[in-house]
Amino acid sequence: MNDHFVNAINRRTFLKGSSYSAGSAALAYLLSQDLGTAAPQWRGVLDDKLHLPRQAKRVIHLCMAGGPSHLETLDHKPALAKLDGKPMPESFTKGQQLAQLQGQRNNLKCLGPQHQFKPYGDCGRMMSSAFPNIGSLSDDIAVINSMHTEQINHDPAHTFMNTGSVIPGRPSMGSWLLYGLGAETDELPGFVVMTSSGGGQDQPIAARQWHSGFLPSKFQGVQFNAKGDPVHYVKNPAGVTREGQGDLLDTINRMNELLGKRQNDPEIATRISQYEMAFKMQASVPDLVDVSKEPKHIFELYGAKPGDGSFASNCLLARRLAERGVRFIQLYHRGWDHHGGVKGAINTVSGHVDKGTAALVKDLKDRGMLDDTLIIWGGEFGRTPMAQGNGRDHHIQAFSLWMAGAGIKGGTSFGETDELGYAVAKNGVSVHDIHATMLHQLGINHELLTFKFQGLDFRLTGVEEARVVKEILA
Amino acid sequence: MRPTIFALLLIASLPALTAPLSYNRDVRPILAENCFACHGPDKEARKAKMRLDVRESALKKEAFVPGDPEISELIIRIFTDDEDDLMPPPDSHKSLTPTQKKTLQDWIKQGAEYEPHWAYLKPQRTSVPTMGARHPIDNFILAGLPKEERKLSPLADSKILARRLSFDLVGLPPSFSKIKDPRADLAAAVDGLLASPHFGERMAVFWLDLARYADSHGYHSDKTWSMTPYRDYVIRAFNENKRYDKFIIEQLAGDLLEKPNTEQYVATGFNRVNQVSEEGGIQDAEYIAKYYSERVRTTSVAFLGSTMGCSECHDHKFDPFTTKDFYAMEAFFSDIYEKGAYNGDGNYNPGADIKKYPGFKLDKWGPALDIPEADKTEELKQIAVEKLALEDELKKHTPELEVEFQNWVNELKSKLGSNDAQDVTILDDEELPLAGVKTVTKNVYSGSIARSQENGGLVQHIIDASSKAITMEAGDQLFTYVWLDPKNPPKQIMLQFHADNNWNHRAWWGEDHIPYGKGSNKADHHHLGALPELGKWVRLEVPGDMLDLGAGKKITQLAYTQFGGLVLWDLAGRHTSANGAALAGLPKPTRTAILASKDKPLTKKQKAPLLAHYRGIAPSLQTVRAKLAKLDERAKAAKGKTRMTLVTLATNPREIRILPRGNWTDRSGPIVQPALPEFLANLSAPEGSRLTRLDLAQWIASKENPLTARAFVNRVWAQFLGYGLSRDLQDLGNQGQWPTHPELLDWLAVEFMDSGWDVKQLVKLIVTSQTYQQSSNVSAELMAANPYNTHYARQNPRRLPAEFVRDNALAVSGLLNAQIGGESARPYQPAGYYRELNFPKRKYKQHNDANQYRRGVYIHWQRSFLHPMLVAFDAPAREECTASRETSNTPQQALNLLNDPSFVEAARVFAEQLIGEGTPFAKRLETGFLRLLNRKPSPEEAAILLALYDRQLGHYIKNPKDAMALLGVGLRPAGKEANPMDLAATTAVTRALLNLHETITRY
Repeated sequence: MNDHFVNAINRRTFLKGSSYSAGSAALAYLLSQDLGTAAPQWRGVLDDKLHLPRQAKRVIHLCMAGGPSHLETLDHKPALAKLDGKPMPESFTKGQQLAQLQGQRNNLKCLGPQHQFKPYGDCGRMMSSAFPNIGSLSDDIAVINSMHTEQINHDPAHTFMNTGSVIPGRPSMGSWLLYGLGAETDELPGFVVMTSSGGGQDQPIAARQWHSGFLPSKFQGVQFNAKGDPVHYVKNPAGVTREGQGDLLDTINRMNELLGKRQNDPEIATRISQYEMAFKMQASVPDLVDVSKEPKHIFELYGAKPGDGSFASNCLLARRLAERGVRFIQLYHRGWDHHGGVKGAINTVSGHVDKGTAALVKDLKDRGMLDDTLIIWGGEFGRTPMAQGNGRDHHIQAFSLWMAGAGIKGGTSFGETDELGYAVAKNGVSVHDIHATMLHQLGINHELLTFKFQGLDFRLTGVEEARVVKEILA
Repeated sequence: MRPTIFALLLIASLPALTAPLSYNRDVRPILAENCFACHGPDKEARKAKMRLDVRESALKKEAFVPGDPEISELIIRIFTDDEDDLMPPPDSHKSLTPTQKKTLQDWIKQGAEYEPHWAYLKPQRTSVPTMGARHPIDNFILAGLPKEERKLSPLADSKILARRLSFDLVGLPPSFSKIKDPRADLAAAVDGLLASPHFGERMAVFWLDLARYADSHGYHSDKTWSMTPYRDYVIRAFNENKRYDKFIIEQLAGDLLEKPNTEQYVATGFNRVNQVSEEGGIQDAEYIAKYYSERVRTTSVAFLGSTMGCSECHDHKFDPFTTKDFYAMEAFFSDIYEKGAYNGDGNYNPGADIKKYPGFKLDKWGPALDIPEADKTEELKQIAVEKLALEDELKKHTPELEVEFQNWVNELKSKLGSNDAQDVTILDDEELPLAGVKTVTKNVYSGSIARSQENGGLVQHIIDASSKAITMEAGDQLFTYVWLDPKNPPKQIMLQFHADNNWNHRAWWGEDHIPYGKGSNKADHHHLGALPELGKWVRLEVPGDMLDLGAGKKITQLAYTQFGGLVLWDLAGRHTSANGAALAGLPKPTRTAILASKDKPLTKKQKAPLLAHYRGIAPSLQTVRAKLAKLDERAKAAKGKTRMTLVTLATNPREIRILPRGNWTDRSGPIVQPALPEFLANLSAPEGSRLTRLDLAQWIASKENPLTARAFVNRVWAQFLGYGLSRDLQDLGNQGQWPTHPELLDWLAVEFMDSGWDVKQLVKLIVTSQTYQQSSNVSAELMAANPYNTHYARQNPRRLPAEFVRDNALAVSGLLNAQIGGESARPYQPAGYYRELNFPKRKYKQHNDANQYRRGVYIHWQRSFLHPMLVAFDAPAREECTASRETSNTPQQALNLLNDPSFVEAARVFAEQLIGEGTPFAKRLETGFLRLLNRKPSPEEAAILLALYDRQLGHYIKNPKDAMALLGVGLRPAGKEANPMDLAATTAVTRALLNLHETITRY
């Protein structure tokens, strides 16, 4: 019998003789939620061998899905206002890839910024007045205005943002983090995804965005649902009480222990521990999503109502997940695809995301957690300075995002676009650079976190050069 | 660059070399891992123009001196402590272990001989080692064991072996597959399983992963498409033991075979089941490029066990595949009739025309075939017999019918008048209203309403006239009445008719603004002059002939179109002769007969067609006709129930260029023609022609190909022994793994090819070996000595694949619907699981019939949101070709088995079966164990489960509502016979059983 199994059995000897009706110690153990001493579910290949000093313990990615317009959010372009309605200078667009505007290549007109910009914070950075709450974070966040990407359509652009590759089947960033660092919870998945929508046409999001690809599937993200069971199959079947389920679990594990005595198979011990974790999840997940004990001022801060499935509610849950040791938390807000009516749509989407975003950052800061939580806010690409009616088309030459917390230097801005916000003019930052920077803050050299697949050493940052954006680090 | 003294000392102090080294086994893995990235085949990445993968090049650059490591640059560089000189350089984050360094040193000392990569050499029939075993595989395995441990583990006991064989060969438990005692007659037991129609389903699970088969198209909106006939083809192919070489050729190029049959076309779905996109704004060319490169990746992994993917952007760093090879392989697929953007913006290959492929249709997703459902010959025969009897009855001529008939004829004749023309109404009040269109009641031409259409620009409303038979007569005019508002007149009005399945029958008045048909002066856009007078009802008239609506044409719809203004539209019709009006709707011979006999009795010749027609409308024959109609419907349902499947059709090839760094917008690369990888094959097309997909397929399926048979037997071996003889099932190339038993791999490959690529024989060969039959339960010592079981000195326990985890629960409970093939099945799924899908929004509709209980291989495979149970148990989304699945062990699996209604229902139905008519608990348990685990429970197990039963029974007796709630899970109603409390408590026990590690593992 291997040691692992013996240990597992020993750990569990006091479970013997549990009785559902008798309320035994074993059942009490299984039913208790005070499990703080339990070992992490996965220690991660880097474990204590981090390459660099660790600043971030966890990452919250606020994915503004659909392609937010940098021109109405973070990239101030007064020159574009002057050209509003005038032809887009051909020098910008000649020979460039266009998405839906490809049909009117010869009749491209500029669309001036649809919202005013104004200075925010002590740093005085110009940001859109449509997002006053995010603006109030100005001194806490570092804005990158020189992002560029390779994919001009939503689905592959998300895949590129999440996995660093456009070929399906590569692991997403959250999976890489779990693989490298493990999780600090054995009651919750280490990589959690939530979605919300509102503010634009809901572009679909596929589960491949949080898939573990060629990494072991235990590293894939688990989607929490706003409606129905928060996690699939986390609820007992009808007519089964928590005690009844605990009784069943205990029996299953005892049967598996007997099997483990007869059969040499290390998977048996793992199976037993997975059933324990499943049972804990059955309690901890409802506990996580039960926000009823949050004080009133927190609801007011976030602008959230319990169970409304809004982005604001998801932000609150993100904080609760962060508190419970989840490594990578990803919130998608599907409301940023503004091909038409960008002015009004920005107001609408701001109503969905502005307050919740700012509340999350402030709440984490108040709790001292912003210091070791890295926040990334941004979409899969930007939008054209050219008009598509009164909206904007997809754009990959330039977009903006911001980061905060965990060693990010607040108040900094990095990179520039040209005067019309069409292309990167200075200090371009690639998606791989963002990945490298994120890993750096987590104590990982992006070149050294690799996994062998198809005979090759794969990494999140791909084969091209990637650099840590040191300029935004404190 | 002189070696440091330290390095020299170190070299000198190493012990003398011993056994001869093999370049492939010992040296190449070290060089490939550490050196080839910069000193390998990729010339773009090559540093110092030095390559180490080719001996001549390495010698030319004086990388080493064979026989003399001490003066070899390579050795000096790996031992130096000068960071600037050290290889591999520190910034590569690679480093060599002392053992690796010594290996390289010894190898150079031994002469630094190279060998071509093993997998690129044709496998040779190796001689079977004589180790005293009867089965050749066992002799190979014994020979591979270290001398002191040269024996296999004891055989698994018969019950465990039966369960192993059953799951491995048909993916179902022995209680379902009814396998006979394999210890008594193994060959017979194996033959029985191989003959089962479930063998094909089992093998399909592994093949469909490679073929990336799915029921939805993948990218973005990820709509459902219809490809199930391809999936069924794969199942059938394994069941019928189709030769593997034929299987390859049919899938890659079945359409290019001589006179391909339907099945061969269906097989080509392999090339079409790749992910495609219809996302708005995508570029045709970009997505075509994506599809081509995906096909090269899939084809190379699925058939050749080679990863060519890297070569899309650069020459392969470790294998001799070049970028040119990659695009030349793409070129084989450039003839596939397809487009990149399936959103309306995309274009099929220039000149492609579905009309040139009779029997095929152009679906939204490209060329497709409608495949009739399984054989309905018997049902159709039965229908034909019944129909014959009814038709006899219909043909009977009775005196009553004769009277009826004469009355009808006389009435028709009485209606005949002059040839003066008159109006026949097509449209009136009944047809004019339309949702969203205004009608007026005051200013009308006839009846009580007219339609009012008002708009600043183009407006068109359509009227369905299909309920009235409108067959044009010679000389007919079409007319309608309009009223144009003098205060707000339109710029143009148009009358448009739908006939012959098109709308190209238009007449218009006024200025030319309406875009439909614009630019043509023919029947599809006939100008009849200025606008008619304003402010009064005007009759618009147009001769049918002018609009290509001559005699015999059937009109089904009318459209009123205008540009601007306010127009009232009313009555429309056909101006025709009086006789034409009277005889409207009658077939031509009938009309001729009536007209010819207007003033005289019918001749025999005239009477026949009239009587035949009359039988079709005679009120007295209505019952018979209704019965016949029903039979026709049944026949149509039997005959006409088809399933569509996308197929490959060859059309004009697109131009393929090498895309620099894989960038599809860069058209500067050279054009390439289809060609096989240069280092593997040399086949050129005859002058003036090009190689085809069939050439590619035949090369892959040839015995000359060194990769094909090895890749396949390696994967089949892994199905039964846990992992491949070469561990990496994706890649046999340089970055793959040196096989643990290269001679066995080659022997199996040659044996397989020589058997006529006989898959069932290969399977039988493997599972009848002692190696396969060994116990998986070995001592802790043996386990510790070789945790990875590299020598196959025992079997490996394996968790069941996702599909079989489900199948097992359904089979033991008796719920399983064992239907082979057909539409995909939709089992219970958490509500709202598809909420992130859009265009359109999706609602999952579970099957509420027998389809609920079908095998996992038939579960609807939604690529972007695969069923959570399949995800939990490691099934791939099939966005890309997958050669092996993970085997994880997660809390999600526990939650699934515990709480997914599929398993809760199966547990309850299982419990019902065990209870039967009040069977005592001990007996229930015994039956349950036998069915599920093929063994009896131990006393200790029985005691644990009895205690569970007692406690649960106590709970349910106190809480009968809970019992009823539990029994209500699932579609299958709980039987009335069992006591609900007893059933609920027994269900707790069967739930425990379905959750056991042993249940989902084959030992």
